[in-house]
Amino acid sequence: MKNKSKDNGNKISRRDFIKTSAAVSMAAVFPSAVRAYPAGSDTVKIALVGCGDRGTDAAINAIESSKGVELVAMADLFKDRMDNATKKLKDKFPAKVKVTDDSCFLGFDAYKKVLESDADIVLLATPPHFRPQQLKAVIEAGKNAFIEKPAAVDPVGVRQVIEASELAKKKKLSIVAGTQQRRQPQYIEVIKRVHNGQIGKIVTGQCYWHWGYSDWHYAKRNPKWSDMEYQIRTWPYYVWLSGDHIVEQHLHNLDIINWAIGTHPVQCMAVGGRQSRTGEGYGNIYDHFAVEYEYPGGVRVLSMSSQIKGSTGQVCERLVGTKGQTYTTRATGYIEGQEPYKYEGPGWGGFVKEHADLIEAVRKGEPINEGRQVAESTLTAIMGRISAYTGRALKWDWVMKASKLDLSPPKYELGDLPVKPVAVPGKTALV
Amino acid sequence: MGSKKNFFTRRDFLKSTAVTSAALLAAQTTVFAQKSERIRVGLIGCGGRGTGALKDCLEAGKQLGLNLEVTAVADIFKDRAENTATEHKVPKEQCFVGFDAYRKVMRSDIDVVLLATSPNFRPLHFETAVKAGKHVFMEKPVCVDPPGGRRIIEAGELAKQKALTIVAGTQRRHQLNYLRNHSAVQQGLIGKITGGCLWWCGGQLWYKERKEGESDAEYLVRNWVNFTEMSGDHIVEQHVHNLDIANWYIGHPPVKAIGFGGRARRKTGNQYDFFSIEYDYSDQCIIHSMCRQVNGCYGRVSEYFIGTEGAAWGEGKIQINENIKIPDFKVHNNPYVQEHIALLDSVVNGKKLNEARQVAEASLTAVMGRISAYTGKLVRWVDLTDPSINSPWYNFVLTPTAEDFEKGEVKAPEEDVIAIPGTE
Repeated sequence: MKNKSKDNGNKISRRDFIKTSAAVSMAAVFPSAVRAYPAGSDTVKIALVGCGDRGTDAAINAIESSKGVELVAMADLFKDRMDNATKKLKDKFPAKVKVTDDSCFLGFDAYKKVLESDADIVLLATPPHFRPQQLKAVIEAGKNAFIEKPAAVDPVGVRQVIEASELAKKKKLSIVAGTQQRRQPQYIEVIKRVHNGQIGKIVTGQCYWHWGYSDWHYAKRNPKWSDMEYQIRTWPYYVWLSGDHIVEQHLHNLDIINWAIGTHPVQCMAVGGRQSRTGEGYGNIYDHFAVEYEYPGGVRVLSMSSQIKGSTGQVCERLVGTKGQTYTTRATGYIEGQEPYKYEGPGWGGFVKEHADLIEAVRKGEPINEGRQVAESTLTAIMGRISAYTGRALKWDWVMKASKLDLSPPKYELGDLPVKPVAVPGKTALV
Repeated sequence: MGSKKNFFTRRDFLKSTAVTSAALLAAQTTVFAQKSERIRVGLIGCGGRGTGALKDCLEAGKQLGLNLEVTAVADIFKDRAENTATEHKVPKEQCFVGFDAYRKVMRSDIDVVLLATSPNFRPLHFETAVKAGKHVFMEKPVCVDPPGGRRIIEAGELAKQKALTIVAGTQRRHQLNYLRNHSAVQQGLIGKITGGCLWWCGGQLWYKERKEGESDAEYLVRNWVNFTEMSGDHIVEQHVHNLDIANWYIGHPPVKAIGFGGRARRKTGNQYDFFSIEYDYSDQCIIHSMCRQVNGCYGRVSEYFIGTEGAAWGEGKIQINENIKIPDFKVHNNPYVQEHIALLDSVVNGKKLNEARQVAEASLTAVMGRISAYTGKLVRWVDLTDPSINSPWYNFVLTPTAEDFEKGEVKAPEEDVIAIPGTE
């Protein structure tokens, strides 16, 4: 992990090197054993699966992150989303967006067609439910993947992601995850110091995503939409699609805690409910969770996440050690205590850096694999959700190895799909 | 319980030297000893906890070799008051019924009064008791809203001036393991407290369906653990125990709270059945509180503190090093009896034990968490306690109030209409 941070620091100069000396770099950087690029070109081709806002932005981030990136194929379920995305991308990068009607695919299996293209990297940005099956297919097709977070919505999906990640290792393919804080400088600098013992032994901590907002992707139902179409268009509100907001959104904070502590929790107990956001169109997710995660050595971390309009917002992480404590947000990072520290350097967003790192890894043939790390952070959040839904305290090993929870719908087609009831603790079965 | 061990040397002293003790009392105490050796006890609220507290008090009197007599009882319900009166041979004319019955007990010739009605009545009852010059045992919690908590604190100050003894039903403060661990933590066993967790995660409590023809007031009193206006909600009514331990171990109440809760399974009333609150105790100390009353869920009732040099459970086993000297606490092994031993010992020996502020602060801590959960807002201690802040919560009063009950102006809150955090 520390090595990777170091690489991040050096990355820009290495990329400049590639830019300015293309001929030399071809010979020097790409040994013959790894991915062969078309002679005389180091163009990296990308494909996009899931052409919503995040997917479109991810493609923009990827194209902007590095020289010589071309978008060659796209997939979505809905034509209007596809049309919006292609227009936006072509307007912005007329020379780099090389998709045509023949390389834009619609439907639940559109991602399979994208895999027949000559893309080097596939960006997976559909609602989280589809991630495990799509990642598996991408890796089996011998392509590298950028996967948005979260990696899955249930333990079965998490296991699938870990399997795909193991396969990627064997095939020397890269998987980079959209947990972009891992590439933000204040996080890198603060957590590096935590790992170096600057706050002593970690004894407790807190992390929050109190949003103070609730209506993301909310839409009134168009009478022409089937159940399935309505649910996918308003996907955050359906557990089977998003994993609930603790998985979809709060995962970011949990990922930081796992990163800082260096491992996942061993058990948890949680409460949660659906108190404010209860109207029609809000599916079957909760609007708040509180989880106590216990890490090895009895380190307890409080996680709180809520999406309640008009409530007090707070998005940050805090770690308490025997010699001090850290405070990190998307805007700042500092340490208080015996050895205070504050990150004062230039800020940069992780959204672009994650693609730069991935493209560089592909070009150099030095794979990065974040599959397990994002799968574990995802399972951390899923474990909290299941504990809140059922009212049961849970052990990591049970959730990781024994839980059979699979939220997949009976079939993938734009038809009827009754909404499952909202979970009731003490009543909802542990699966 | 029922141990005959020599846990309390003063008890034996009192028993074996009754004559001397009378002289001792006369010398040390003020009002009480001049009147009589007999201690007259009144009870307000003859429900399960009230009658239990009375038994604990009588047992404590026995342990101390004191001559206790129950001389007045009060309840809203006739049968409850009469049953208790019969059991303790209270004269009929000293058995009072109704929402103003407490006043009659206070006016009667009692030394000690036990306050054990539902919590919404506590501030009014306590204030009346102190004004009437009675020593008080009061069940927890002691308020359901911020003005109620402040009223307890003010009356507690008056009790100090009057040298009255005030003991609260937060019995962990009188429990051996808590006393030992508290002492060890105060002596630096775990360094500075930097975090911790509090839990009261348990099953559903009882509930009562509304009876036909029953008045709003009667229904609310009978089903009081399910209405926020009566109990303060379960974070106040039950979880206050754990919050009190945090306040005690850390040394002061928190400065702010943010949290939430909800209603998943509750059958009647308007309360939530779970809460999760983050309490900021300032100086880099954050405590997580979690409470739940839902059947079939994971249960845990405990407190855990993390410090710069270790961790300790509220009452669990601790490893003591040579720098820690734990006093030899002489306490009865039943803390519910011990709290009354402390009460009576203070009364007869003029010790002026006064727990009003600490239990008011614990109750307000819980109220602060509840307001945050109900509204979705960050709530600060000063919002509840400092009038200069002009917080809308400073004068936030739950109705019907105790006074409304006495005046007969009670309209029950709507069933199943609960607090919704945030805004539309």
